[in-house]
Amino acid sequence: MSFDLTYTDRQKAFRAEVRAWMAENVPGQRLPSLDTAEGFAQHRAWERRLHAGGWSMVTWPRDYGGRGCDLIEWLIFEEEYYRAEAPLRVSQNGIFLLGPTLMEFGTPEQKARFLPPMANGDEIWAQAWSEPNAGSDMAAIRARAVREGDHYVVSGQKIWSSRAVFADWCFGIFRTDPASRRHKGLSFLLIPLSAKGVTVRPIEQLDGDPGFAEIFFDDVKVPVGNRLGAEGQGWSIAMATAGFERGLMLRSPARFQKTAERLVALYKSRADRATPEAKAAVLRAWQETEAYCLNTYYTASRLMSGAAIGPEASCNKIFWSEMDRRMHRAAMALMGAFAELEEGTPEAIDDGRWLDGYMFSLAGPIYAGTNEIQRNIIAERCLGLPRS
Amino acid sequence: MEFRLSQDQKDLVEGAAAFFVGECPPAVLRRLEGGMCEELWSKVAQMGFLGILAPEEVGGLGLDLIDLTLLVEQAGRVALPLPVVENAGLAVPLLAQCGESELLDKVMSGSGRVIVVHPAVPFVNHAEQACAAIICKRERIGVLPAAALRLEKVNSIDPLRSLSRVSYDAWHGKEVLVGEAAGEMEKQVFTRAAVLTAAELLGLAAGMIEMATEYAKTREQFGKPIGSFQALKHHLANAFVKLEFARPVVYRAAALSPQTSKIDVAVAHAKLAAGDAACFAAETAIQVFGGMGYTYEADLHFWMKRVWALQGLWGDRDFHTSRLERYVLADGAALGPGQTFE
Repeated sequence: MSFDLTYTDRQKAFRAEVRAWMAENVPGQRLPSLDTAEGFAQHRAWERRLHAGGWSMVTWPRDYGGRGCDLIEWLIFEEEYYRAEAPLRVSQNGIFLLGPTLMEFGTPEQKARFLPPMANGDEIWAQAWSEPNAGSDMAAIRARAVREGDHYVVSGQKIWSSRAVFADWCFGIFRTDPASRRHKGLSFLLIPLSAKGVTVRPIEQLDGDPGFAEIFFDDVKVPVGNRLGAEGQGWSIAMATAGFERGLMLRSPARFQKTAERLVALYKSRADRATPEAKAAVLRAWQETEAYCLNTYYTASRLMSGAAIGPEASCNKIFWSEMDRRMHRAAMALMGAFAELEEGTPEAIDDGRWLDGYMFSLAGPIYAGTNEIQRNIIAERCLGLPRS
Repeated sequence: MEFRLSQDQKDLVEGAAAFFVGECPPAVLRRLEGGMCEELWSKVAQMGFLGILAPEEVGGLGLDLIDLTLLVEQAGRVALPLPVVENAGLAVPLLAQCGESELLDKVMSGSGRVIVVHPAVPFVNHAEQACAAIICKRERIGVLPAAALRLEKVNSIDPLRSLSRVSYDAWHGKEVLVGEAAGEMEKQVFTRAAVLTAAELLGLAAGMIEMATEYAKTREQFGKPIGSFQALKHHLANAFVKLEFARPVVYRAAALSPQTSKIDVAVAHAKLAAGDAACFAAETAIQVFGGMGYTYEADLHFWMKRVWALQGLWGDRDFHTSRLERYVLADGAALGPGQTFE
């Protein structure tokens, strides 16, 4: 039987277990933004609590603080997580991106060193991908890592590093072969943000919080043991990481289904503003989030039977990011003159969450590789159209 | 929870794709205009495709609606102009269930075709050569011989559809189901028809994206294939994304048992998603083909016009949207994470 769209008893029991734990443990109040010092600290405390409960990263092996769940169980976990309105994951760069990359490319020593503190919230990671002149064009990377005996000397600049202001470590790709061009001669390095010669300069995001940062490396000494994979293999590892980012892990359907559910409630509470356009947007939100969920389960089932996720990950990224933006835009329209009210204003609907969400949704089509780049990938690798 | 094609289903898809591409290239569509290809119909029957939903005891393949959905999707990819949905999807299971074995044999062997007269479809395709009609009403389902029907020809924009307004003077035929059972069957006929029409729309969308992609690889402008231009790539990528996210919606609807409480909304979602994907693919494809796409010379129009025809059948957009609306906006509706599956 290949189509069995019901949960097994085991899966139902797992759901009940997650639900019970979340009901006990999810903070009753929304935490401050994780892009502020106070919010970051509170989110780190939440990561520790999750880890203590054994829920930090359910798909990881037990040795690294996980519980060895399969992808369907992971989806169930995520459903319960968002159902309970649990806090956003401040550890997401580590657990969703670097974690899977380490499992695939790391040495046993690297896995043992980095995965446990990543899972328990002791070490929170930022990514150091982009540079001022290499955003979507990551092969244009210039930051250098020059080998000197048992370490590299790293110099250069990275930008758009989310949460680097408060994070402990960063991962990124650096040019280890000065004579190389494009995607050759790059290596994947893990660097503590506390290292001598590292300067992090915050960049205020649209909401005024220091969510982004620039990272400057001024002759930073990085042990060779902090290199993931072989020297010069950085590009292919980074592409695998980007695949995780665009694929299943970064954005589970539950998050968007929760937004659609809240949008329906908002629509009902604003009966006086319920235009045909608003109704159509609400119905579309439900249909799209449901389709996204179905597509994710469909992909997860195939992955579990041994298939590999390919350039289809780019379809995912386009779909969720544009759906999220549409849902928030619809909410802003429904709120009318109340849409501009920020968190903390007594009259703000849903305490300004839609406004926050709308601003965040605008970033979706940009980060993890702009949607324009994703469309090129689909056209060239899924459809076979010629490169320009 | 298992949501993927089995090896048998992958083989079925591959076999069906090879068969349809081989037997029904665009040249056949051009030859057929306005008519029905009996030779092709016999081949479809020989493949066993018409008996997919009939139990093995009566000579069918004993497979389920997902298998037929996959087959119809492949038929859509080549714009197959034959009434597979009406016969394999609607008539066969109904005749099998009612023990109409003589007619069932005829349909499965390809020696006779049956039309289905249902309130959701005002004009019936390929009625001229049908040997019988299944009349679906809420309270009774019956079989009428072709002689009892009056047909009036109407023209469809799709040159491969041969439409008639069908009427009959009185109920001369045999009532096979009455009362509640008939109501239940009428609903199931509608559900299957809407799901299979959605599957055909998926296939049509895929066919148009493939066709437009091939054209974009070879057609040169400014000294380069037009498919190397980002503007065109993005159009085609958008159509591809829409299709990829419509497919599991249709498969889910096909996989749900008709008794599931969510069946109507799942079917509505499937028909809407596939219809959107197909309309979008049609508009994208004509943009890629440019002026050529606006002519009768390009094959694209066969696909495009079928999409327009199928959009309004077995529940149009308004019908399915209001079903969705009743579900989504109901008090205490089961929305949000964890509600997609049972």
